[in-house]
Amino acid sequence: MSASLAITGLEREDISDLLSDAMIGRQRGRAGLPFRVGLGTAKTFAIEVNAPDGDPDRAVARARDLLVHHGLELATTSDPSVAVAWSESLGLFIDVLDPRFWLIHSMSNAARVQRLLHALVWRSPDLDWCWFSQDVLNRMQGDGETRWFRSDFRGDELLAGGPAGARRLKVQLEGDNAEELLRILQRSAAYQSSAALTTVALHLANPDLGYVDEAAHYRGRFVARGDSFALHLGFVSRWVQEYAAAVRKAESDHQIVWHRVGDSDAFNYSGRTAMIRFGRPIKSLDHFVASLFSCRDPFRLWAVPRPSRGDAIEAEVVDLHLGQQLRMDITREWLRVYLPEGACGNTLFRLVSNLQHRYDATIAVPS
Amino acid sequence: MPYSKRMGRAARSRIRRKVTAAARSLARGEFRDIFAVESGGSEIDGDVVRILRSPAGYAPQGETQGWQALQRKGQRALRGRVTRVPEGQLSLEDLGLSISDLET
Repeated sequence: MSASLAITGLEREDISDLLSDAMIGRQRGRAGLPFRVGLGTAKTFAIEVNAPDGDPDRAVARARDLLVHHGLELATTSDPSVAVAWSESLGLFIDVLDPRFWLIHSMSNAARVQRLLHALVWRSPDLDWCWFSQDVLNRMQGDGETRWFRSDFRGDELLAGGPAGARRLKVQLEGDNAEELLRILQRSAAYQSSAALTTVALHLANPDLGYVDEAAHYRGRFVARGDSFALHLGFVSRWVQEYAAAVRKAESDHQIVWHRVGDSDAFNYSGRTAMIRFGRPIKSLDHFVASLFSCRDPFRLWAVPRPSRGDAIEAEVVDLHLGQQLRMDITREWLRVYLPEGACGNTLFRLVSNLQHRYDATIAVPS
Repeated sequence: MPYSKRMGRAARSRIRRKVTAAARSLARGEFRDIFAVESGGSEIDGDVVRILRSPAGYAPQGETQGWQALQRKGQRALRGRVTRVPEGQLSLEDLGLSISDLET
């Protein structure tokens, strides 16, 4: 039975060494693993798993439920926060050190892993990707030398009816200081709203650890070539931890929580709405909200919007991630989100990073 | 063509004839479903290459493999040999594209 499988003597450090060797094409002994690790590039996928009072044991149990259902087997290791899962064609290392923000490492084919995770995220209401905003991807470049970037803006749905140049922008550049072209686009009045950074690849080196060329995608995906899994993991952990802190802060700042005042019938509230301002006004509000609330990936939102005062639209929205209800007010210039008590902060980051890739790259994460 | 303005008219014509002949030969052979060489007509001096099918139109995941297949095809046609990429090593572009969205 997969539920009772355990690999003893396999520690977190062993896995790091094993994956560093695999990156440089050295297949060591299997270290008790029931699958072939694979060789080549190290991939890491950051997933948010929304669960109250999570701890590593519960997170591993949830991973087992999810993966066994998809035909994989799972075994625990000597580290309670690391599990391994495998099928005939896949091998995964699941790191639940933060029980809410999992890191899933693999040397298997990236498309296969992604297909599996996509199915998991779409079918499991408690799972979501980590959504890096433009600001985070821009700041990641400060960790090394940018060698390649890709900008893939897809405004076909939300910007329908606008000029073709504004709806679609796809730029990819490789070279030393590749970010300079991106900066030019981001400063250009004509292109800044469409210059969304989708993937960035940079060179990281450390005299003690080695080197990696690291690519990071805005949906919380990372891939590295080089000779140091530790360096890759250091980079990934730093940015996922920062993301986790930002999500928790958004929940603390923007969840609107009602409190009874003493024993009276009066209430007051804490928290404030999250305001998302658009760099370019919406031309057709009806079309914009119809596309935004279509239930489809990536927004995963459903609502029946209704006209409000003036030109505004208000909507009671269902976030299909957790099935939670939240309210939004939308005008041509801004969108206001009311996160109720217990709402997931990841919703806000999914909304912002996808609006940046589909409506306006200059939108900022609400502070 | 780099430095073509520094060449004499005869040298430019020679190179142009060679390139045209090579392109026509490839369009008739290895690349016949990829591009065609056609007369430029009254507006254009010389021939034009019309792209019939290109990996640029593929989904991102297939696009890289498409360009690599095209590169191998070209190497086979021009030199008769294929350059082998060391196992597990990806170009930066392939590295970045390997984590692109699958659904597009």
